[in-house]
Amino acid sequence: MNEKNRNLLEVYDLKKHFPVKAGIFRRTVGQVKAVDGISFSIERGKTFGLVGESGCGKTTAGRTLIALYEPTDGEMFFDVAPEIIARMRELERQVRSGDLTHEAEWRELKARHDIYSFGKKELRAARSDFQMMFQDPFGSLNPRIPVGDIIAEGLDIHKVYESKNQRKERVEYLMEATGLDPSYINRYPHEFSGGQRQRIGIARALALEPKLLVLDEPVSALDVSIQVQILELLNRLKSELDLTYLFIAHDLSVVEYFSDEVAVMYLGRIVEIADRTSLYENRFHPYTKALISAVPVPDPETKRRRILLEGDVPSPINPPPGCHFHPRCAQCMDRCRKEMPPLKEIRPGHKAACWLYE
Amino acid sequence: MEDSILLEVKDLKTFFHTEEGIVRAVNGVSYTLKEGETLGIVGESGCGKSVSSYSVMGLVEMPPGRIHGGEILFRGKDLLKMNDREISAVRGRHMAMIFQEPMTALNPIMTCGDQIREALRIHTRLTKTEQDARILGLLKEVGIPAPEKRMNAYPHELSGGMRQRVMIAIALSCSPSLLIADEPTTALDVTIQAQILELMKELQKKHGMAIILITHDLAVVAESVDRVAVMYAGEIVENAPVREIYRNPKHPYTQALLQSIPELGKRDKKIEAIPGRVPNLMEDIPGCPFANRCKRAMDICRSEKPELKPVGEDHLCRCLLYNDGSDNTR
Repeated sequence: MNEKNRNLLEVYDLKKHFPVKAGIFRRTVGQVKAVDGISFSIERGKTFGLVGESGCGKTTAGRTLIALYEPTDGEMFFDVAPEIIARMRELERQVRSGDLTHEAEWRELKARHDIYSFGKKELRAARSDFQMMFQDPFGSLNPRIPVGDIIAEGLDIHKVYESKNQRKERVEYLMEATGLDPSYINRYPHEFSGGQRQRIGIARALALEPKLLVLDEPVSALDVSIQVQILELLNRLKSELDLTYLFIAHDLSVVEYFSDEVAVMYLGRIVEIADRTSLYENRFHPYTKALISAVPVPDPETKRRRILLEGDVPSPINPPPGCHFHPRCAQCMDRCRKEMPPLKEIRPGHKAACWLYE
Repeated sequence: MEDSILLEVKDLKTFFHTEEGIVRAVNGVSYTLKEGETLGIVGESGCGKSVSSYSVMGLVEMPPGRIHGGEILFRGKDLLKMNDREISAVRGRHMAMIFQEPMTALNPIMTCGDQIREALRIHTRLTKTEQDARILGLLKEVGIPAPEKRMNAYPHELSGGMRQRVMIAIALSCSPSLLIADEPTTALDVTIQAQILELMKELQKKHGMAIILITHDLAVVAESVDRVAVMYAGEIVENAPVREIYRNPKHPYTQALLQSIPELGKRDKKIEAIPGRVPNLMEDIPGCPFANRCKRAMDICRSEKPELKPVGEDHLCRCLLYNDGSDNTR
């Protein structure tokens, strides 16, 4: 496998549970399983879309991924050779089955390559490789700091410049690359429009020359005419700076337009994962079907059969047993109420978690 | 009844007087709405789509807002010439409104049932028992499960979709002839959005009310309305039946908007951004406000203001490209 098509990121069984506390002693009374075991990989240079409705765990997944939250469980490999990962899988299988001859080697490999096993210092060093851009162009920029300093914050923390001049040059370069006028370097966030603020967010995320950007709803707060400007900018930067994107959004049309591969999340799990064309054309999971059919189409003459889902997304504190989607599913079977369907390949490169395809 | 005019807005001007200057939020808007018709008002933030409807409802805060001219004729009577008492009799009784974020529009310390009761108490003469029955009926009608229980629930106990249903129940309580819906589904997830849009359609069919749907979402509009008015910088730039707007958009802004949205399942569609951004509404722009972003702008566009003129059957457009009456199609 050559450098180009190698996976930049591989995530295995990522979980993030938040404790629910109650009473005067703040005892833990339950867990919100915001992300409950998701696995995926992103090829270098590609855009991976993570789509779902509010509360499905897509934002938590993004934040846990870049280690803003400490994961409850899971492994993440960033830019690790596939042979090493394969070797680790093999050793892990041996260890789990009771053969402990290579346990030390396994543990050593894990500590060296699994980001979530990293110590504080290593994590900090690794972190400059993956950065995040946030949804809210108003809340995510400190209103008291001039944009030049906002963009340079990462540079300051990681101390990657030698002189004040070098720092300024880098900031000006970043502003220019993201379509901002470098002469605005000393202005404050409120002097910029929503679209420009998102550009500031992109410039800040790019400051440390990351390889992966997590884009959390980067355009959903913007007007339609501005959305495309930002998406075009992101696409241009991706090829110019050799970036890889994890694109988190609720808007399926935008995700399909912008991503190479798409995963659909529901209540903390990935229910379907495929390249964008196959997802739209085949849509195996009943939830994906309903989701796609609910997206309004800007054409008054298309008449489509809409699958109307009943009710709301259930609470992630106490998700329904078996398949989380079964209470709203029109094709629910007995088995769905009891057993959780695994994510399995239905067509080459197209996986879904549903008992209908057993 | 079908074709009679319910609402006619003529050259409405709503300005805001701020410390920095006058914001011309609505700058000469005219449209008509027939009984039972659905009009979509589309535009980006700051185009005046909400303010124009708030003006109709009499909800513009004054000051800083002030209506500088125009008429709002509701069944032939000018709302702007009515006194407060007359207006209140129309608002709520014959016109009702639902908002984008139902949580901020609902009273957090009042049960859902009591909020509906408030409207009934003001506008009808029902007894308490009759009110109870009507509240239950309304909650059932808007598709709230276990209405007996939900009647006593507070807004924070309900999901976003349920809250929007309660808002709709309040709006429907007096069977209005006009419902103004300001981005009613923008805060909701797509599957819930589909539920609410479906519900609004059903209720409209049943009650025969007219709806003004204000939204930024061209896709929602395509599926829900009879007519579309596209707004830009405080003015209506195009007004036509919904099919016409999508099949045969005339104004370069409408064309650019349609070209800027990705469509699910249409990957070959060439998406194009609209360069630049909306003008500052505090400046008095001499020519067409869209000229500096327009692909087809001519010299004259920067100095002369276009008027809203017919460009086809039942199709109005505010653009100098069509000034000589000829159809300069794309």
